[in-house]
Amino acid sequence: MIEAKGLTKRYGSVLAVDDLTFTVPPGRVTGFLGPNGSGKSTTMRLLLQLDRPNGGEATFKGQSYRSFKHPATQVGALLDAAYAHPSRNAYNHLWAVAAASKLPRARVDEALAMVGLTEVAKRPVGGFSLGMRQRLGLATALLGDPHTLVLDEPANGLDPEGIQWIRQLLTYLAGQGRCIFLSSHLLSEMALMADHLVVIGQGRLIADSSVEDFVTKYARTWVRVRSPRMAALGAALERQGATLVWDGPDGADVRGVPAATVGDTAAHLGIVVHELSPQSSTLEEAFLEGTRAAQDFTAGAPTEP
Amino acid sequence: MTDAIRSEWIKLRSARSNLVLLILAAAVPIALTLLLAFTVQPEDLTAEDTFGLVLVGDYIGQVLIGVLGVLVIGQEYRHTTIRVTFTADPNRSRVMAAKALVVAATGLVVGGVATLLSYVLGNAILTSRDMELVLDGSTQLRALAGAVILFALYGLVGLGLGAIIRATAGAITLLVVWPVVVESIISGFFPKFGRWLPFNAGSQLMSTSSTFDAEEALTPRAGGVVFTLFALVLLLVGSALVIRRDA
Repeated sequence: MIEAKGLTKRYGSVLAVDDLTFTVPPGRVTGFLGPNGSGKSTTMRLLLQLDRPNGGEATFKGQSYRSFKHPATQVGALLDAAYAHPSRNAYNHLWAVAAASKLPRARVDEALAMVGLTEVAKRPVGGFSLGMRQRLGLATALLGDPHTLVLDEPANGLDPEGIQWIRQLLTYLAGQGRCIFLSSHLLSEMALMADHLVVIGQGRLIADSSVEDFVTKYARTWVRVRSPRMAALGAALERQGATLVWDGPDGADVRGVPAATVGDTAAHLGIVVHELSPQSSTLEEAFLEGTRAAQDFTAGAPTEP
Repeated sequence: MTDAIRSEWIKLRSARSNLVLLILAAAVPIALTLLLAFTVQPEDLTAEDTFGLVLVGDYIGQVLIGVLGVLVIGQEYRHTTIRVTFTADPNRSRVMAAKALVVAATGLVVGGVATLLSYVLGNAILTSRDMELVLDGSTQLRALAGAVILFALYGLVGLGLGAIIRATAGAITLLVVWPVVVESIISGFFPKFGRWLPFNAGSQLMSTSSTFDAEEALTPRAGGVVFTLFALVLLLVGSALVIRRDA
């Protein structure tokens, strides 16, 4: 269980994280979603008390991160795959963390095996691909067998096979009752991995809801209609409050009314319909729609009287 | 604390640049001693000068350990592994103390090897060339031990500077330029004031003289205290900044 209460972080005049409150429960994968620069990484650093908040606090199972004697056994973190010394090999990178956390060396081998890096363990990290570095970062996070995982863009740089792998791994770990909190700026990627979403934009909370609810709330829906008497049908629909985007003389996208209304209206008027299909915007469009509000507010604020 | 020390030791010896520095810090003083012992002409050399031949290379070794001290913290910021370090151990003062202990211990070992081998090899060569390598009474042991201690103190100064400045190149430049250029110039013009400057004061630890003109130089003991305090102040300021700043 991660609890953030009123987290606020200011860099000079920029408010990177603005009074952010959310809860990440155990037993499921919670996605932390926001466009680039929305404050996801800053929030994660605040959770781990790497950065000092200007206000608010964050706790893991009710305890602050600094109160853990060996945090790696409670909370596993992957902030950025690039955080490694290029001439240090993967084994030593993990061993240094294991030693600081009073973990036996056997855990290093186990963690390397878990992420599939055993064969390159003695190679300098400088020669690793981004995907290999992500795996090393995951190994670091998993080293202490923690009950909570905080992962910043863990799928970044992984190939489709790697994304599939991490998705299964995280689902499996969540199934064991662990608390998984991972960020991404791609909703499509998140929809594959997360059950629940915490969405932020411009450092502010936009949504704390299931993936489905988020999409339902922000995705635009419309009905694709095609008919030889489209003009008459369109006029009737417009009287019921629909707006039409014409696609030639016999086709249009009908917004503002459900598909059933379109069908009922056509039947009532005795109009033949050749196509009647509900459409919805993609996850990515829903996400942009959802985060645009925050951005517009900020951009528009100074011009308001 | 032992966990933090082990972790820092693993990190220190698993980065190539650190290993190169360790080897150079021991090898350069020994190589310089060999070179000087084989080539020096006995005329015009006092006993102090002759003994200085086996210690002169240690200056370079000490600066190299200072550079190591800078890297131990500077590399962490440069590669942002400081975030990995503080995620594994959020007790930042403990991490800094562990770094200081590891750097100081490494300095003592490397300095011990460099100084001892320089002395033994230098002594063998110079004796075979009919020169004597000996100082009065306790001065000889003090100069040798002082040289070794300076390795550790330079390491701590480097660590402190690295923690304050974070930019590795800047800290190393300061570490090299300050003693050689700034302190030398100031001492040249104002010896009374210059003797208190930290690196000048510290170098008294390995002075081959047994008598000191109070107007121009501190005694080895006073100089050692000044330089040790200097190193500790840098370390404390550096640690305070590391604790305060966002990682």
